[in-house]
Amino acid sequence: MLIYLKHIILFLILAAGLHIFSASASDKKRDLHISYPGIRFNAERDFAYSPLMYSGVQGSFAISYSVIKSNTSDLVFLNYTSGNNTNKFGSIMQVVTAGIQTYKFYHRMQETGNGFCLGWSNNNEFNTREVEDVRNFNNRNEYFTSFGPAIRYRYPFIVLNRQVHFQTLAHLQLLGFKLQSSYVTSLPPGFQESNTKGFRKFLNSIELFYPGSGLNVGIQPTLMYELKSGNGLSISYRYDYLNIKGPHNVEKSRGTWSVGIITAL
Amino acid sequence: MNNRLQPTSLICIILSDAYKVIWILALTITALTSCEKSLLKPDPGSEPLVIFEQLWNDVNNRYSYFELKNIQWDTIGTHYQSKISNTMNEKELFEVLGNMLYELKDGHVNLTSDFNRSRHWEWFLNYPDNYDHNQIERYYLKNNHYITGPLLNQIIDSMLYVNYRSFTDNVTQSHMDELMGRAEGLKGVIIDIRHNGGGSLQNAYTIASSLVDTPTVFAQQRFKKGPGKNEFTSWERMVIKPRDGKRFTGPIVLLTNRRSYSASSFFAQMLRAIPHATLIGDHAGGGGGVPVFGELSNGWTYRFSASQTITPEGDHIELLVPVDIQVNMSAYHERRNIDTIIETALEHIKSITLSPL
Repeated sequence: MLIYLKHIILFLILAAGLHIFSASASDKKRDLHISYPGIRFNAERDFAYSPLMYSGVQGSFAISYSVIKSNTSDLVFLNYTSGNNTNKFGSIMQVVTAGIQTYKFYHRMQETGNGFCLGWSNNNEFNTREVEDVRNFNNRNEYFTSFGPAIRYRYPFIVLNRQVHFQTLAHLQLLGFKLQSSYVTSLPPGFQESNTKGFRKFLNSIELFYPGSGLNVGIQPTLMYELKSGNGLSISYRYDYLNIKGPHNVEKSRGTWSVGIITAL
Repeated sequence: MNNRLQPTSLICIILSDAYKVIWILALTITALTSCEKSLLKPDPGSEPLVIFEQLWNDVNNRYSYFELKNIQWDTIGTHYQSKISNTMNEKELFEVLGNMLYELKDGHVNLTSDFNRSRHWEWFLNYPDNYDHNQIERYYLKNNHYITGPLLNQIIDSMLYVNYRSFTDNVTQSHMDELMGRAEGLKGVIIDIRHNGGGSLQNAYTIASSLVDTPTVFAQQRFKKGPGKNEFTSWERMVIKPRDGKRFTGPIVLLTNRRSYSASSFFAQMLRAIPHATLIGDHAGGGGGVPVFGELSNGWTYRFSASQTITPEGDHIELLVPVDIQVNMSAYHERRNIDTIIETALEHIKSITLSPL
């Protein structure tokens, strides 16, 4: 029964993810937003290895692509972060995070999309970490894909005859799937079984992501300054909190600063 | 029209809605920037009783050999908890916790601090040494032996003698190409892993894959999957797959002693499953559980076995891997610079190659 439920919800999540970012012929404005190496302030704890918090500053890179249409806006956001965390005794943990997040906002009544808009977000994130000096079952990992409400606030204003946009995105992930290292080994549970193959291993490994088994919430205020050419500059801060319950709980609290260039396409 | 900014217009801008937004943004970011750490719970304390609970609980939940070794962990916990007080110093605490872990009688269990590492070494200390590397270097490997990666090798009486000191030293496919090339046309191969305390299982697979022609099941393994004493994954077969390059499938002898531990015991079990291999020496010391690592809130680290491995016949390899021909080093031979175990292996291969098919 559970396996069928997993199939159905997996299909719904994928369909929703595709729907969230679906371009159409009525596109009005397309932007490519490249965030140059930013810095991420990261604090996390993986109870599979230690009750201690590991924290540090990592390098971060992000690209986003947005399409504003007559009554909807789409945004896809790719990010990659890598670097070291340490605990209070100086032990080192290497962490890598990669993610793709999509947003879709509805602004039927106001073509510009300014003010508050409601919408949806689909977040896909993969995290891996290695603790120095641990020789077995290193590379603890988790992956989740989830879906939940999002809100955007856009406020345009003029400074020194230039258009400036203040924008804040916020999301709360409610329903999806997660895949994480097993109770002891690095591999998810289904991948330890030799009598199952391919997609079945994946299905046997995934678990539902729902309030109580996982929480991901984030906010990203951005200030965008428009240049004469129609391109722009931006400064952004993205904070997000992740808590995944499983064989061993994992929690992360992260804030990323970045500056970027916005290219009108 | 004059575009220059006048003082009055600057005040207007500062008081405008736009700047209110910027100030709100700045305050929000400042507040969030400082709270990455503060939004997570603070680290737990490092009082002796807290440390004891953390260690006892993790071992209780994930250690894999309570039943095989008939260990009453609850009773052990009660006994050692009574010795813990929050007034003891870190060395006293370390001694109590080290003694508690010693009760597991497992070479894969250690508690490590900046000042000491607790251990259980009786699996080799209570048995004959059965190895003298100095003697092997001088009288068997000699000055002209090959050093193929971590594999020291020499041809003795038309047999290839290979000495491997540690499975932590990586063996590559090109090392095996070279070694298999040297073994070509010889009567047999002797692999000496006495005093090899283990390392990476991948190196064991790399060597063993040169010694089989068909996929060979040598063991089954399972891992803890929950805190219950019998919560394990299903048994999964461990298989040696033949490599694509050169292989040797003539007579093979593996030399082990009680200090052949962990990956060495896995390798010994691999060779037990190969029909043309013979194990000579003393039993390998065991260590069939793969250790998982952990950290306590005072910064000490520990490890313990979190899996089980059994032979295809169902015997655990945690306590030992038996040899086919048990031989100890003879004091008489040692005085004459003769390694009894190597000599037995040489004679064994000669007897096989001389006997009619």
